[in-house]
Order: sequence, then structure tokens, then C-alpha cells
Amino acid sequence: MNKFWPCFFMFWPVLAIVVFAISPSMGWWFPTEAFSPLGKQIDNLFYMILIIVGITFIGTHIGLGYVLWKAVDNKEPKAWFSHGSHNLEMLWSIAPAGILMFISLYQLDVWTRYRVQSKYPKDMLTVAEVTARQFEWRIRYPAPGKKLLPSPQPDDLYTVNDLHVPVNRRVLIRLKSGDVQHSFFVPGLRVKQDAVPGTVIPVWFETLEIGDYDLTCAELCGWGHYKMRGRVLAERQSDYDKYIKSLAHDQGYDGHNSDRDGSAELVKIEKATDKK
Amino acid sequence: MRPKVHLLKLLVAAIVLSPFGCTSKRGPEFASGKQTGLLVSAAQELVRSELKSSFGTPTSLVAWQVLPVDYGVFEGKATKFNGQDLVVSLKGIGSNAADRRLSNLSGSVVTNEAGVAIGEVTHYSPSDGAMRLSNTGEAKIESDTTVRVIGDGLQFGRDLYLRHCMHCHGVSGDGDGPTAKYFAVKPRDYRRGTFKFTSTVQGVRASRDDLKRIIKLGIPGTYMPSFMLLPDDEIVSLVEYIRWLSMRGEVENSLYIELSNDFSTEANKDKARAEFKKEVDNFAASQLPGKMSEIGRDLAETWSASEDEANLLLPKDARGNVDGDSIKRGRELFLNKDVGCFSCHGESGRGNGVSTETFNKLPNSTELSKVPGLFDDWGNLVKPRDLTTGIYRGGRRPLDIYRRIRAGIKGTPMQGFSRLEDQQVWDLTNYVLSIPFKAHSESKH
Ligand SMILES: [Cu+2]
Repeated sequence: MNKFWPCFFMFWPVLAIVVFAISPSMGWWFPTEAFSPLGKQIDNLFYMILIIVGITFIGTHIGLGYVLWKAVDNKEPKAWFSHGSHNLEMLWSIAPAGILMFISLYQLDVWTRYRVQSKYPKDMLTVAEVTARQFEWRIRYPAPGKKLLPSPQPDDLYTVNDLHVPVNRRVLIRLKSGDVQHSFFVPGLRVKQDAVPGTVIPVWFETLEIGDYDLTCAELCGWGHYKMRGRVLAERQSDYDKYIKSLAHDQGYDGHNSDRDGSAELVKIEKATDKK
Repeated sequence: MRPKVHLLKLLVAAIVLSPFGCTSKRGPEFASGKQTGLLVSAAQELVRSELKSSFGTPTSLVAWQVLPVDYGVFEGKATKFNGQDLVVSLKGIGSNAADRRLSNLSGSVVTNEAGVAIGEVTHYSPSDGAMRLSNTGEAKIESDTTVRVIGDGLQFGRDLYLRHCMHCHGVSGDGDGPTAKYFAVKPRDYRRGTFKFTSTVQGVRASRDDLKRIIKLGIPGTYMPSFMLLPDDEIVSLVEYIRWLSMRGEVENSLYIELSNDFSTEANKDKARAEFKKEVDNFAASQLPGKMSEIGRDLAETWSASEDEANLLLPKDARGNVDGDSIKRGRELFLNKDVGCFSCHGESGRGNGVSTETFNKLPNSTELSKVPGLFDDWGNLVKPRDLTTGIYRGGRRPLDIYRRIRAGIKGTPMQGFSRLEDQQVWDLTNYVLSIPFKAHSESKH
């Protein structure tokens, strides 16, 4: 019974090592890998932090277990009083401070690219304005061949919950809110940005593969929060152009077009041409 | 030590009671409409039992074959039937779409070759075609005859409706679900069979495609969100269920109209209860069956009309060029006294026309409203659309605006303008679509 506590505390670091060892092959990490370059960098930051806390956790617990194990047969009636030891205090203040300082400096580069507008990539395509509202994503594209302007234009194209972007291209959306605070969250691309009423926030990302990526709201915005399901569909540039053209055709539809085939009567949801 | 004991007791009580929860265990139920409550109790009972036998309950739906609803049908050959267990080979199964449908089979009705209901499916195994039936009666199925299994589509629609729509639109489609009370713009009450935004001509109901479009795109400017990403078969089933709920509401209303003359509480304050019972029973025995088939026939006719290609509203003339001249002509029409758009929408299109401040006749009534403004058929105070916002509830395509002007917004004071020439409607459309940009540039200067 004396050995119970040392064994108990030793069990956890051993379990941690086992989990660390098998999780890469079991896929026990994020639900999907990141499908954007910045997302991969963000994942690397998470991995780095995981390694640091993993080593710390295993190290401290093995230390704790070792001390307890030694103490089982310790007949010494008096304990060693370490409180107030200047050296020890210095050690466990400076070591974590150093680690935190390292993390904060190490992530600066990614953070800047992701969030600091003056450091955004220069060659970006502004695809659309996305307005979050209870409980959907309203999307405004510019007309084919035109630039997105801050205020609505007569030939703008509108859709909802279905954001198309060209693949392998840095794209920017202008994120707004129509009512309360929402959050534009695309887990597969590691994009998450709050939509704040009264502001227009530029959000950029780049998709590495053709496919559809779930878009959800990550800010509890009311009773219908769960209804805010959308998707980001990354497609070939040519398919994207075709999509914008079909939107333009639908939006200009006057019911009298000679090519009336009924297709313009109903909104069609196209499937991604290649699944990721 | 005392408080601790109490805490412990409380904790134990909480753990023991938690599986029971606080809410009632009753399943979803179709609520009666307000008008039904105006009848004497015997007549109320009659309406309820009639609705139950024609439409069932949310947990046990009835497919009334007279109605133009696609309930979902599987056809098959019966090979064995012993009064409860049926062996049947259903046609068309094996595909993904059909297999998906099979998961909604339980609860469907099985009919024999003559169309007589045999029982309800409680279990079906696709591998050997064994089907177990409940609520079976005397009727027989001969071997090697055709059987039909009816209702998987409606049940699928019901499940989806309860998940996605019920909390606003209510179990019975009365627009009074638990979340409805938070809205300034009321969720649609389907029970009149009226839907505002349609592609059909004046006086005709919404088509399936109209409902589909609204479900997919939502209604901007209201709480109706977009269900763009629901798979097509789910939207199709939802549309059928919503149409069916509408028809159910209309049957209730028709029965009320039928019964209100003789059996309203208002008119019969001093009659004895027992008398009603007899008279109502009399009515039920002699007139009701004929009345119900008449109601069913009428419904079939009106709802089928909305699917008729001839009732689809399409302009004869194309929109033509959108230029300053057209917009100017549209503006003149907008301000024209005989057309009268401005009287509701206001001279600058802000939705503040003079009729929002006067006492108007209530719809389907000769009475004036008690508060100034315009009312729709559901009795809600409605604001004429502010055309400067650039939000178009029924869609923003030129065709959508054309249809709003030509056929009106059904169930609202926005009436259709059938007298205008096509080109005039297009001029108005072009003007309406230009208002947000004009207002914008005006506010800048
Ligand atoms: Cu939200």
C-alpha cells in the first residue's frame, strides 16, 4: 500500500509517453490536417507547444514519482525545509519565463502574417464581402471582371452560405456582421475571426486543395447559432470563373431569356469537382 | 456538521432526479387552431377527430390519398402474407437514394392491389424482404399481387421539419413555435395555404419550386435563414411536408366555416349541451363524409393549379435596356396616382407612404383597423418595404421584382398590377432596383 502513490503518479507520465508514441499513427490530432499554408504553420506552433508541455509534464511527474518512491522507506523524522530558497525561486521563475518568452517571439511571424494588415501578402484577390447575420452568411461578390467595392454596386452578385474561392490563391474576404457578434470559423483552413458589428475585418487565406471546407460560427450568437452552417468551396480558377458567371446570369435573369431551361429558376448547389 | 448532511441529500436527490428532467414527456402534437376553439365542445371534438383520421398525429401520420402530396411510394410484389408478416420484393431498391429512403419506412402504410390499407410497417429487412406489420385488419393480400408502401417521404419530411423548422413554425405549422415569440417579423403560419413570394400568377398558390427556393435562399431581412446546404432530397421532402401541413390547416379552417353557422358558442349561448351532441352527431353521419371529399377535391384543385406551367408568371417582353429613360419612366409610374405605389412605399420609397398612417380596412373584412397602418391576412401589422435598403425578401433578380409587381405579395396589401403593360412593369422594376443607389448618392451630397 505504501507504494500506491508513487505508482499512481508514475502511471500518468508513462501513459503520456504511450499516447505520444501511438497518436501520430492513430490520427489523434486535429480532425483534419490543415489545408492552407498558414494553417500548417499554425499547426506547427501547436505541435511545438505540445512538445514543450509534454516534456514538462513527463519530467515533473517522473520527478514527483521518484521523490515519493524514495520517501517510502525514508525513516528520517524531519523534512528538509526548502521554502525561501533564493536559488530555487530564481530557477522556477526564470525557466518558465524563458519558455514563455521563447513561445511569444517564435509565433510572432505567423501572427503577423495572419492578423497584421500592413503585413498581409500583397498579391491577394478580394473575393467577397461576407456578412454574418442571425443565422446565416450573406455573401456579396463583385460582377465578373470587376473589383469588390466597399459599398454595394448595382451589378454585385449575392448568395448565401456558399463561399466559392479559387484554389491555390491567396484570397481575402471582408468580414462584417449584420447584427450581433459572430465568428467566421473554417477549421480545415485554421481560419477563425470574429465578425464585430460596426467593423469590416479583412480575413485572408489560401487553400491548398480543391474541395469543400466546413464553415461554422464560433461565437454563440443566439438561439440559432447552430444553424450557421456554410461552406468554403475551393475550386479551379476556371470553375470559379464559371460559377461567378452563372451567378451573374441568375441575377440578371428576366424570365425571358432565350436560353431558359429552368436551371435559372432554381439555385443549384454544385459539388466540388474533386473531393479532397 | 448539519449543513453538510443537507448538501449531501441535495446532491443525491439531484443525481437521482436528473434523468427525469423538468419538461413534460409528451411527444409533439398538432395544436387546434383558434377558430376551432370558437365552436361548441361537441363540434370541436368532431373537428379534432376528423383531422386525426385524415392527417393523423405527428408521431403517426396519415396519408390522405386525395391530396396532391407526394407521400413517397414503394411498389412491390408480395410473395407471402400471414396476417402480420409480409414478404415483399420492393422495386427500385439497391440504389443509394432508395436505401436512404428505406430508413424512413417504418410507420408507412401498406396497401394491397385494391388500394385497401393492410397495416403499418413496424420493421423491414431489405436483405430478405421480410416486413412486419402492425394495426392489421381483416384485409388480405394474395400472393404475387402488387402492394404499395406509402409514406416514407412524408415521414422523412416530418423528421426534418421537427429538426429544422418546428421551433419557429410550430408543430402544426401555425407559426407559433417556441422561438417565434422573439421575432418582430412573425414566422409564416402555413395553415391558410398562403405563401407570400411566388412565381405564380395572381390568385394562385406557391409552387413546389417557390418553397424550395425560399428554403434554399432564406428570406433576407427576416429570421428565415438559408438552408442552402441541405441535400436536395431533404429539401424536396420538407416542401412536401410543409404543403401537407398547409392543407391540414386549410381542412381545419374549412370545417370551421362549415360548422360555425350552427355550432359556434357565440350564437348558441342558451342552448343545452345535450342537444349539440345529437346535432353534431347527426351532421357527422349525414353531411360530413360528402363535405370532406368536397374539401379534399377543392384542395387538390387549388394546389395542383400552382404546379401548372400555365400559371407560371413569365414576362411576355424581355427586360430590355436598363437606362436612365426606363428608370425615369418607372419613377413616373411609381408616382402615378392610378398606379399608386407611393401611397404605401412613400414618394422616396422609404416605406412611409400615407397609408401607413391612416386607418385601413382589415383584409377580408369591412371593419377598419384599430391602429393605423396596413395589415396582412394573418392579422399582422406590416410595413411596406423600405426600397432604399436594397434588401429584397422574395429575391433580387429582375424577374423576382417583376413578379412582385405583377402578381403581388400574396396575403398582403401589396396587390398585383395586372393592368400594366409588360414594359411598364419593367420600367417600375428598373426604378425600384435603382432606388438604393439613388438614396445612397443623395445622402452623400
Ligand atoms: Cu453566429
